[in-house]
Amino acid sequence: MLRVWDKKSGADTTRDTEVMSFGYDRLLLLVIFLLMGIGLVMVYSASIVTAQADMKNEAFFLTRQLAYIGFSLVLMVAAINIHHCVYKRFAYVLFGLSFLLSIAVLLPGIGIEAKGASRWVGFGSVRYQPSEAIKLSWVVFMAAYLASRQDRLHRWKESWLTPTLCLGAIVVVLALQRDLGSTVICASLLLLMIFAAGARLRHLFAAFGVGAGALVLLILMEPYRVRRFISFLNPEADKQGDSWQLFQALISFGSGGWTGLGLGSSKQKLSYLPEAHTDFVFSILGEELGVVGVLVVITLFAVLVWRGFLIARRASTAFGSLLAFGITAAIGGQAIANMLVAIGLMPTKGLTLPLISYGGSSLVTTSIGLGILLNISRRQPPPAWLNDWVIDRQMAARKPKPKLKRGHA
Amino acid sequence: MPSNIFRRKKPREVGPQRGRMALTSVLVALAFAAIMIRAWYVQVHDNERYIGESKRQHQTTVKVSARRGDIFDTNGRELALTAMVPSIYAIPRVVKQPADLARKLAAILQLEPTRLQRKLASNRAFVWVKRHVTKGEAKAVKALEQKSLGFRNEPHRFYPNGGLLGAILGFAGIDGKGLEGLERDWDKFLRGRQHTLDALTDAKGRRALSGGAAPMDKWAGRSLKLTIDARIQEVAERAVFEQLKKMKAKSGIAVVMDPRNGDILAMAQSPFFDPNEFRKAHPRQWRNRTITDVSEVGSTIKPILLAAAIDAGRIRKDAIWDGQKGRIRVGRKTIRDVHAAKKLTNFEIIQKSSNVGAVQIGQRLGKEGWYRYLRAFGFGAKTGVGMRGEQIGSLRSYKKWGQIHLATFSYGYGFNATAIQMVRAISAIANGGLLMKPRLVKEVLDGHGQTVEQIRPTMIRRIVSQDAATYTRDAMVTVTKAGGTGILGCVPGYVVAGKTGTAHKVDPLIGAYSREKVIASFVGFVPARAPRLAIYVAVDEPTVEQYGGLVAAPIFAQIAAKSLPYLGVKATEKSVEPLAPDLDLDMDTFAEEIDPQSRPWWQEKAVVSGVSSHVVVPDLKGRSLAQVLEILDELDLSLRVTGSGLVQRQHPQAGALLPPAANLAVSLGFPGDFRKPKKRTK
Repeated sequence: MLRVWDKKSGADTTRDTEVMSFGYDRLLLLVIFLLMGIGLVMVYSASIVTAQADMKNEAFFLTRQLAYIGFSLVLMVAAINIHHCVYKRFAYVLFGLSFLLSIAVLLPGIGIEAKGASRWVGFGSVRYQPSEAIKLSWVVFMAAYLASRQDRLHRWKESWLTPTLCLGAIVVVLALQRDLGSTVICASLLLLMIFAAGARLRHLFAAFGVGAGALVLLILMEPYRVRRFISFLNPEADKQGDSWQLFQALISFGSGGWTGLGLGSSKQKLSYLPEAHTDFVFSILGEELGVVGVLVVITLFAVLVWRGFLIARRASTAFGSLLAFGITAAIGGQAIANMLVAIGLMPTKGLTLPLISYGGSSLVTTSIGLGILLNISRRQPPPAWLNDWVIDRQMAARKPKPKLKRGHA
Repeated sequence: MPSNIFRRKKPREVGPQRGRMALTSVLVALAFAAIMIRAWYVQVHDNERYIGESKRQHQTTVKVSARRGDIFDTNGRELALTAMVPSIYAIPRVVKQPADLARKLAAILQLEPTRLQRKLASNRAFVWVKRHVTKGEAKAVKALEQKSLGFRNEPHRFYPNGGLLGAILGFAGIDGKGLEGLERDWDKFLRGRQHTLDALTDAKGRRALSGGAAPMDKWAGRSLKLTIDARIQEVAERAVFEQLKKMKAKSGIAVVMDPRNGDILAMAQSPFFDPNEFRKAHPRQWRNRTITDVSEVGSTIKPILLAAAIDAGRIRKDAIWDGQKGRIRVGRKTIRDVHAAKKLTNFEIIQKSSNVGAVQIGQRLGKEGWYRYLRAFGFGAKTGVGMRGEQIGSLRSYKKWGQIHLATFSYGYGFNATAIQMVRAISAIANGGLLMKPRLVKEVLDGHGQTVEQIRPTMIRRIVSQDAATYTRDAMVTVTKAGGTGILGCVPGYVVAGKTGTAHKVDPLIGAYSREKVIASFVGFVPARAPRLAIYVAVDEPTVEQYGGLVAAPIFAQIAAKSLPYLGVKATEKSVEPLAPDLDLDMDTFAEEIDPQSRPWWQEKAVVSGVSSHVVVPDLKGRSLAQVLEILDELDLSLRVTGSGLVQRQHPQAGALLPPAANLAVSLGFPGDFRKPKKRTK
């Protein structure tokens, strides 16, 4: 097994030319393309009725999704070719910028309101959902932060304090946008990344308890979340009310059988299932392609997660490893959350199924993340112009602080 | 060396923890596995339940009525069509100001405002405001821009020729069900099938058919192609109508048949009605009189008698009959001729319409012989024209005939027949002795106009020999020549074979023949040698003139004169100037015998018992209760009704005589409700 970082110092050692490689993970790339392709087909199939009715053009969402995919691929190619250490250099700046963007959502004029929540920024038809950017920059921030103090992570002040405060800020901003799903993702990422980075387990469990408490509080804060939660617990009690969406998703998913009704044959997309082509595209997929289709998609996501974690473990730098882990966890976690909602194991959240659901913000951000992941898989040495900065930090990291006297159980 | 168990054995690894990452991937794998298991559970295990739920909300059925078939004449001219016209409905729950809206609508649609307002003010989900409105009305209502009003295109039956062929075509009701005439009798074909289609409903209630395009063409009603020629029909209707006006008659009919194949080319009757506005006509006018009305045949039966006697070999062609000074005694009764003659040839009997001669021929033929020939010519039986309500007339068995019956039957009194029976019988003489089945519908077409079923001309049997038919024809030709009773029936340029008839009507109120009321008739075919048209004309209760030769013959002549050139039949004779009867002809020429003393056999009982106010029971079979009431309105009978629908049985039977205020029982039902119990075989 390749050990690419210095165990003793905990510093990134990119001087190990033995492990340098310029090839990126082609299997991961194939999986990405397959998921995008399935997504395109499913978005078209699920959106035909809505597109025909509302836009008078049945290919409306198809053409837009195609454009998003094109744009995403451009950005992905760019991300593959930018060394990931660059993000470490600008991690805090990026996080700050995306945070500001999220706040901008709340400003009239820039923010765009839809469906009772203001989640977009943009002008006219060009709009972006900053909560997606928050998720990515949060991963970058956490990876940079944790990579730079690996030897101090056993202290809760070092490992937990700053990220938790930042998360608090994110929670406030996202709560104002009523975006509970992204909040949960960010909180989960915090836990997972600190866990993976090597924090102490007892801190982790304590933090987990606090986090769960906060989540319950958040749910109770907004009456509509309580309703959603109740409806989740008993989806068939009130078929016409709040659990409508959940129940419709279940009907849709359950109609599939082994091989599904056939592509394009979904009945539930006839306006029964709201958000059929965005958040609930997985239900339509289950209805039209059955268990077989679901198995294919889950397998593809599983391969994606497997390759992502493999890249994380093989990464040439600690930052790269944590970044790859975080990106994979974010995408995999969001996929799992979306699927759990679609099959009625989790209350509705408003999370998209990455790479498959319709939506530019999600697709573009996910693609950038995957581009970064592919870049990490290349295990290139950082570019020369970053050397000074990287080495500086490494040097700083190499010197253990005098307080550290002994290990901790 | 005791080791401190609280102390790490190995110094803690610094840097991302591979083990923890592996653990995370295991968790992720577990999550995916859980999703997969749950997916299988929901999709396969609970599949039926969710499919049921799904169907319950999106599946509905839509009833689709196929388009009703059209009716064409022999040349493809449209006689009955279905077109989509808008109907206006309202959703009263949505109506905000019923009074205001009702006023506006009433003004546009010519409806009664108060009734409309009551409709609109109700709490119903759907009411028709007016069905089958014109385009102008629909446009005006649309201009109101009321959300509570809706339009729906509905099929509406049109009869583009108005009153032409009205009684034959009949009509279809507002819901596309055939109610009278061919529309009713061929409804099974015309209507097409109503189908239930599976439809998808989306969450907003919009519907879409799931099974692709419905094969509407396959289900569409069949179209009919009639043997009727609309041009000849027009000519016939006009001729009857005009003569009726001239003669101030009650009604008149004319049937034109192609004797070669039994095709009915025209069935005219007057007064007529327009099926487009059938409600404006009296239900009595809806019936096709040419098949439903029976009347005394009168002298028009004489050619048939002659043909029968010749065919049977009972008389010689060159027979000379004793004129008996114009009177012949049969039993206690004396039968008279208008023109007393010393001697009569066969031809003269026909030409002058001699009853005395006819009686003698009849006596030669005998009761059984004459009865059998009458049956052979199709009297007393349905012709098989294929329309409901066809009457068979009355012809009782020869075993119940007395001598007097044989005598009166020989010149057409005492039994009656429909026009269609008459024209068919005379066609048999025209075509050389073959009885044809009358044909009214010759093709059934599918939605694309392709022939699905062809109804071929049917020859039923040979009745008389070619020789007997030719001989009779020659006899009939003399009728329209100088000295004949039907001289007005001659058609310039053609040789016409014809026979006049003037029969007194039976007056049901006195149970005897009326003195004033006659049926003037004419039957004939043209051209005599190669007949293309066989025509029967009957005018009911003409008042200006009474003789068939004066009243009915001109109608015949007019129909033939206008139709023959149209059919491309070349004139063979030198064109003769049309006769001017008023100038040259002695009125006496046309005089035919009438015998007011004799009574129809089915009235004899009443006569014997000396009661003249008896009522003849009308035939009510197949009629609706409303029609029954209307018919009985004129008669002094009390009615007992059982069941609902159309009359299936009546007691006493039609033709029976009832004392005034007697009971008449009718059982209503639908065809098939009443079946005769099967005869048991030993």
